[in-house]
Amino acid sequence: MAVARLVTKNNKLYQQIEDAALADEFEVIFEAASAAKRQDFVKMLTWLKKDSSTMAMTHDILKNRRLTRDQERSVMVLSAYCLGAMIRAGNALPYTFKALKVDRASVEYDDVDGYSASGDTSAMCTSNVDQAAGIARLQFLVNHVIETIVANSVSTKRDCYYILKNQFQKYPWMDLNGQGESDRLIDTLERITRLQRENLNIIADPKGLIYGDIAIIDEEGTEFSCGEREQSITGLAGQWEIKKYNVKAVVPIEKTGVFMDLKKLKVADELGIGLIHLGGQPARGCRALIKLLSEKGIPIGVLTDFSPWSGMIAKSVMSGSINAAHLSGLHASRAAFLGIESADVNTWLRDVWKSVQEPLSRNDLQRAQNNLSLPYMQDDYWRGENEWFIKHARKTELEALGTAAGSPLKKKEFYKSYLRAKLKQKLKVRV
Amino acid sequence: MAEKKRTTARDLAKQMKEISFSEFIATNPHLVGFESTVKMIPMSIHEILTNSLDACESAGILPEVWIDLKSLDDRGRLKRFRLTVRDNGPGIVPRNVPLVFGKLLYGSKFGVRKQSRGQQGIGVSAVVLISQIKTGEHAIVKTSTDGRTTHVFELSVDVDKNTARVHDTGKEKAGGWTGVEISVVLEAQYSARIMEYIELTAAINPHLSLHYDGLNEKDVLEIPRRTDVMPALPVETKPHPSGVDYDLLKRLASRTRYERIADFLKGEFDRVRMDTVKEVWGILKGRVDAKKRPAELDRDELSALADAMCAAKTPPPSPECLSPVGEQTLVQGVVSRLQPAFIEAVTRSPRAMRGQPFLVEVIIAYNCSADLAGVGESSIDPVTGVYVHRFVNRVPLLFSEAGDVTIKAARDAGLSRYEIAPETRSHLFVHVAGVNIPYTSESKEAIKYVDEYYEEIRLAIQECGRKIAKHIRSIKRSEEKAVMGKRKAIIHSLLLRELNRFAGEKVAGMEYAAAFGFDHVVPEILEQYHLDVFRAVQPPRRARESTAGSKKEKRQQPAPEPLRKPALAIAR
Repeated sequence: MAVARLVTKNNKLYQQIEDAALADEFEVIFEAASAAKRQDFVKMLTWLKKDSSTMAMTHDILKNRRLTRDQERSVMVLSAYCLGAMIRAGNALPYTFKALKVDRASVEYDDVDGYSASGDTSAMCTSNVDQAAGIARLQFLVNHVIETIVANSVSTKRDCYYILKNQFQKYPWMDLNGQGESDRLIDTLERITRLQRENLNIIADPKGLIYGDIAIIDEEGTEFSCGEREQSITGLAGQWEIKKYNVKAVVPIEKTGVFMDLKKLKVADELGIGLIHLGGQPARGCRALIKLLSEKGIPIGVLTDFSPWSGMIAKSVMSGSINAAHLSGLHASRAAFLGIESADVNTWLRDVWKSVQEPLSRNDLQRAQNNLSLPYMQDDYWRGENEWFIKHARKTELEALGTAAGSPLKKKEFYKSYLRAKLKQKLKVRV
Repeated sequence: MAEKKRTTARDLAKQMKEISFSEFIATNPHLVGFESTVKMIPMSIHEILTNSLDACESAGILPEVWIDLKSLDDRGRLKRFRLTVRDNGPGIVPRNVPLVFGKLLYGSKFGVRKQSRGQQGIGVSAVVLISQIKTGEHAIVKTSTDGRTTHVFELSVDVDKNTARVHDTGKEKAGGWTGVEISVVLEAQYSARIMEYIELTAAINPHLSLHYDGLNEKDVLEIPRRTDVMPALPVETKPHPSGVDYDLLKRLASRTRYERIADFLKGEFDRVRMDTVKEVWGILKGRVDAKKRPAELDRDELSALADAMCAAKTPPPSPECLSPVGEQTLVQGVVSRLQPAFIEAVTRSPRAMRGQPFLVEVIIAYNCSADLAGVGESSIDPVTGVYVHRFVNRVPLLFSEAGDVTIKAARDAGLSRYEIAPETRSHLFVHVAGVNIPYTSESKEAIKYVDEYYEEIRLAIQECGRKIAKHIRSIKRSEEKAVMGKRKAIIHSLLLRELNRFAGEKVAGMEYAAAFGFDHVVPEILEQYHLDVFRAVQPPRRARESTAGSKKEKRQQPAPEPLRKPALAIAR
């Protein structure tokens, strides 16, 4: 079959995309689009767009909106994929979307870079009916997110599930089988763009607080300070900008009690450090903000419980995680661990250890065992910690520090000395 | 203790007497199938109808039978009915009428080595006898052999003497009709099996026209004949060597015209050629004097010869004595009544059971959209999940299915393996045509379990099942294909709808649908789901209006297709 082409005298970007599309090489399209300059892309779309099409909306976003580099790349990659699809479909050819593969077998770990995808891709091809159904939904989702961005709205995974369900339920073989299916589609969008879904305004629940002498410009350009009171970290924190700061370090804390105590006792103010409340396993916004702070050169010290799970929490802040291996910008590799460790049992917690210890549950022990095989826990420190858990089958939590202080009156001094010592020991920061 | 008087042999001898066969049947009606009031009407119809059909076929007349059943009075559960059956056969010579209808064991078919419905000459006279015992009414028989005069007899059976007692005779004008009409009064319980019997008889006898006029307007059946071809008349054959016994051999040897034993074997037995004779000699190893004439053979020699003949390998018996319905005719008979999705028939080649040839025919009517009258859901065989209909020599068998070899074979055939699923309304017809069928009783309600029969019936059902399974599979495949086409069409249409939304125009033409192999379903999808996603016709070139009106837009003028990389042109 003869292949129809547009006449493309000058637009190099379009030629690249068209060539790659005709060869069904969507990886090449990804590279071209994510490397493209924004104004080149706008130029191409100006020439291609039709009135009231999603493509025209893409054009408007790229032309007029304030976007981070990651946001504009996400939008450009998706548009380029759609262009490729148009070229293929216009020639009655099947096409193959390529997305980064993220599983245990296809990620690599590096102590500095954390987890990263090895570059293996998985394919979805329209010549396979099941995969074509996936691509149809994906295409709908692309239109949906671009409209979301145009409207300056946000959506969540649940939003996407409902809207997909509403769209496809009436057709046989197209109904969604639970939210898991739409979640996987969003995941595919992330693996195609290789950027967080937050860049497409698909946000996670806001979780986490920040406190300290830090001034931030949010995704809409509004400036706010975190010095007067703690500020909530939204799902879009990755799009924020750190305007200025006056802290010597930032300490992300697992537990609410200790976070509030350090703030109320003015420990943070007097030591000149910032605080971040993680609230258990940190949300993506939280991790992204920590990364932004770290990039500014602020030392990060993670303060968590003393248990196999807390090790995971700390390490996800420090090294990223396997299922986010395709995303950069979610971990601060220079961060250090300030939490309770095995050595503290005989020092900071010596007097109270008997009363603050808890036995490990079966689940905890299993976690410790599994930790031994995790790539990011292979250094001597973490091996030692996990082996300690397996050997002693004991754990404790951050609240133990308050008990160790003796009385609420002595807490302030105790926290201060603890943080001073740990920051000095782990990060060489004097406060 | 009172002394008991001894009875002498002389006293006993005084009590001994010969009983007539009529008396015997009158006291043992169950032996001929009249033990229950439910069976009364179907069995009576059966006995009369088989006689009519045998007579018509022997005379070469296409049979047409009128059955009339009327209720005479109402006595709660049991009612009196008048059953009248009339045929268009050759009729019966008036002199013979009292014998045929009034004397048991009077008949023409006993011991004849060819397939026929009747065998002993009990049936129709038994009907007359039972009717008379239960109701005291006489049977009325009308017959015409020449089409001019109808002879009317009112008769009953003299039970003591096993002869007919004629009460009245008369004559009427026949008006061109030949045949027999018999009318009896029966005390019976009405049952749906009457209809079933008539339906099944019609199904297995496509050359028969049947008119049934029942109790009310709804209870009526009109089944015209579906073929004008008469079934081949079976020819009487010689006995087959595999079923020979001493007695038969002795009788044949004593009256044969052949001088030499080898000629005797070849001449008097079915399918015996020189090679069979040689084999028989081989097995005998000189135990029989080959120089003797057949009549001179002594008891040991005859016995040895019979054993050797049974042991020798012989070709299957000649099928001329059998009259199978034939696959095509069978199918004709069934299709019009049941309207199956598809139907397959299998006719096995004849086999012998103790020298008596038989053959098995099987039809499976798969997924029928019509029902047979009188055959409800409850008649589905619970094991096989299909309706099983049994026939012997073109006569349906309705009762005693528990002990029947056909039911057992059908259940063992494993129909479920052939995907003849229980939820479809499928009918299995098994017809056994044979000489001297091994019935379980004189009422001829079921065939005994005999290995040869069991094996043949099971194999026939399985063969037919395989043929049906082929259809089922091909249908499933084409269904799957159709569904696949529709599924593809929906999914790709939705994909293109979204892509079109992105592009702001219809991206693909119908060639897209053709390339993905669902172009035939596109109109249906458009109709059903309003997914109008394809360009109507391909525009000459993607010449587009400039949107912003800037100078840059002038680049895309219509131009010849630039194929920069021809290799990519065949990207598929």
